[in-house]
Amino acid sequence: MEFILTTIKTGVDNFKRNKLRTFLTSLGILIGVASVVLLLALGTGLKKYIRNQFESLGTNLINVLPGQILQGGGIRPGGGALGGAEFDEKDVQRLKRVQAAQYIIPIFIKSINVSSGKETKFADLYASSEEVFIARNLERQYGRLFTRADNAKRAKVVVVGPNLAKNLFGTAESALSRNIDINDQSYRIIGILKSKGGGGFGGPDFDSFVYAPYKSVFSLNPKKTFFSILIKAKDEKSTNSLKTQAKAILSQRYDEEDFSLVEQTEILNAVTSIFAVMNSVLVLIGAISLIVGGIGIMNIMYVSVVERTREIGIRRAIGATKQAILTQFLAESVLLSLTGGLGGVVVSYLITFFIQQYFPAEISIMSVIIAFGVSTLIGVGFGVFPARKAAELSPIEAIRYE
Amino acid sequence: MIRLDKVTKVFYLGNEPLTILHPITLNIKKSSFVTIVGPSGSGKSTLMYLLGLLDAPTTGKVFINDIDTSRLSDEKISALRNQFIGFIFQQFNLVNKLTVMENILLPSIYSLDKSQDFKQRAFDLMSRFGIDHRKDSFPNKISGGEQQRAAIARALLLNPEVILADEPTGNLDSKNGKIILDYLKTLHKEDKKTVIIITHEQQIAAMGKQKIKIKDGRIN
Repeated sequence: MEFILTTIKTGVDNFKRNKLRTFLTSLGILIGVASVVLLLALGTGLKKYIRNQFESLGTNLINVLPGQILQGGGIRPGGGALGGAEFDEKDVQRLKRVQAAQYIIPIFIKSINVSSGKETKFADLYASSEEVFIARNLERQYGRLFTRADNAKRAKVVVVGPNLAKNLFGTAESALSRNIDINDQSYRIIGILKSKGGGGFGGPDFDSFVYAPYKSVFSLNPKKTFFSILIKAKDEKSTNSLKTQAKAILSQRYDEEDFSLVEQTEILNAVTSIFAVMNSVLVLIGAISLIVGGIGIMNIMYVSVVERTREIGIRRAIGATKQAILTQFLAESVLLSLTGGLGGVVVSYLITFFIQQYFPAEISIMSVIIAFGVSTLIGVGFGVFPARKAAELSPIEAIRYE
Repeated sequence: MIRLDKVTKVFYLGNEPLTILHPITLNIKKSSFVTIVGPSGSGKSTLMYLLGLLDAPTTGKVFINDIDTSRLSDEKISALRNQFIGFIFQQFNLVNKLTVMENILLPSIYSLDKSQDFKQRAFDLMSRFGIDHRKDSFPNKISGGEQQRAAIARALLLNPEVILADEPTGNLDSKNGKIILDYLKTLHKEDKKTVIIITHEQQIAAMGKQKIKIKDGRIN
C-alpha cells in the first residue's frame, strides 16, 4: 500500500515537473473520452425520447397492417401499395369478436390538400373512429372531439392538430368552428387537439394531422378500405392471446403473408435498434480518437523512459525489482490516461448541459464507468510496452547512461 | 561472505567476443576492508558490478553467504542489493529531482521491512555526515562532497553488511576526498562493515587490509 502511494506520488511529481507535456498527452484521452461519452449521451437521450413519444401514443396497442412489416427485426415498409390485404369494415366487425380487445379502430390515411380559403397546405388525413382519441391518448384543447354519432351520420366535421390549425389560421384557437376545404369538399373544424410534441424521430407527427370520422370521408376513400386496423388490448397480459385470436380471424380471409400484427413495442424496438446501431457506429468512430490518445501516451512514456534511464539504473542498484520499475511506469501511464478520462467526463457533462436545451441528451452512469474503465485499460495497454522497456533495462547500462 | 568462483565476463562487440574478466576466484570476508586497484580498462568496474549483483557473470558463480546467486530470482537479487549492499558511486548517482532527504530514503521504498523508523534513521545519518542542513536541497544545489556524503547516508539507510564504493573520491577535490575516505574507514572500524573500495589510485589502495590488484581482467 505504502509502495503504491509512493509510486503515485512519484508519478504526480513527475507530472508537475512536465505540466505542459502532461496536459497535452492527457488531452488526447480527454477528447476521446468526451466524444464517446457525449455520443453515448445523445444515443441514450434519443432512445428515451423515442420511447416516451411511443408511450404517449398509447399502450397495449396492436397494429394490423397489410403485408409483412417486421421481418427479421427491422422495419420493412410494406403497405397496401406493395400488395397484401386491403382491410375493410367487414374485418373491423369480425375483429370485434376478439375477447381481449377493448377497441377495434380502423385507420385510413391519405395525403390531402387542406385550404382555409387563404392558405393551402399539404397534410395527412387520419380517418378513424372516435375511439382513436382514447387509444392514442389524444386530448382536445379547444372545441370537442368527434363522436360515434358524427361518424354514423357522416357529419362533415374534423378535428385538427394544433400545428396545422396554426398554419392555416394563425392561432390554434381561431381555427375552431371554421370551415376548411379538403380536396374541394368543405368540412367544419369542431375541435383542436393538445400538442403531442415531437414528430420527426420515428413517430408520426400527430400535431399536423386532420382527424375525421372515417365514414364522413368515404368520398375520399371510394373503395372504403383501411390502411390499418388498430386494436387496443384490455391489458398488457392479454396482448398475446389477442394476437393469436386476431390472426386466426384474419387468416380465414387472407393469406398469412398478406397481413401483419405488430405490437407498438415491436415497432419501438425496431426503431430503437436502428438508432442503437447508428449510435454504436458513431461511438466506434469516437473510440478511434481514444486509440490515438493512447498512442500519444505510449509515445510520451517511451520518451520518459529514455529521459529517466539513469534514475532507473540508480533505483535498480538500491534494490528496485523489475516489477517495481514496471509498476512505477505503468502507474504513471494509467494516471495520465485517468486524468484525461476524468477531464473528458467533466467536459462531456458541461457540453451535455448546454445541448440539452436543443436536443435530448442524457449521460448514463454506465457510460461514465465505461469511460473510466476504458481510460484505465488504455493506460495499461499503451503503457505496458514502455514500462516493460524500463523494467528490462540493464542496471549497469542504465546507471552509466548520460 | 562474498565469494567469486571462477568468474568470467565476456562482452560481444558485434560477433567479436571481448573478454573483460578472465576466470577470477576471490573471497571477501565479513568485516574486512578490501581495495581493488587497477588502471582504467582493467575490468575493475565490471568486477564491482559482479560483486554488487548489478550484473551476472558469463561463467562461474557469485556466492553471497554461500548462496549461489545465479539461482536467485530478480526479486531475491534486488532484495540483496537493497538490504545487503550499499553502493557508493564516483558520479554520486543521486536522483536529481528528489531532495537529499528523499534520496536517502529511497532504498526504504523497496525494502520489504517497513517496521523501522526510516525517517529518524535518515536524520541520524544526515547529522552524522554533517549534511542535515541540506535535507531539503536538491543534489545539483549542493557541493560534490555533500552529494557524496548524502550517497553514503543513502547506502547506510538499511544498515547493509557491505559497502561497495566505486572510485568514491574520483569526482572530489583532495580535501573532500579525504573526508569521504575517513568516513569509509570509520564504517569499517566502528560500524564493522565490510568495505570494498574500487580505485585506480595506489594511495587509496594502500588503505586496504586486503588489496586486490587487477590488470587486463586478471587478478594477482
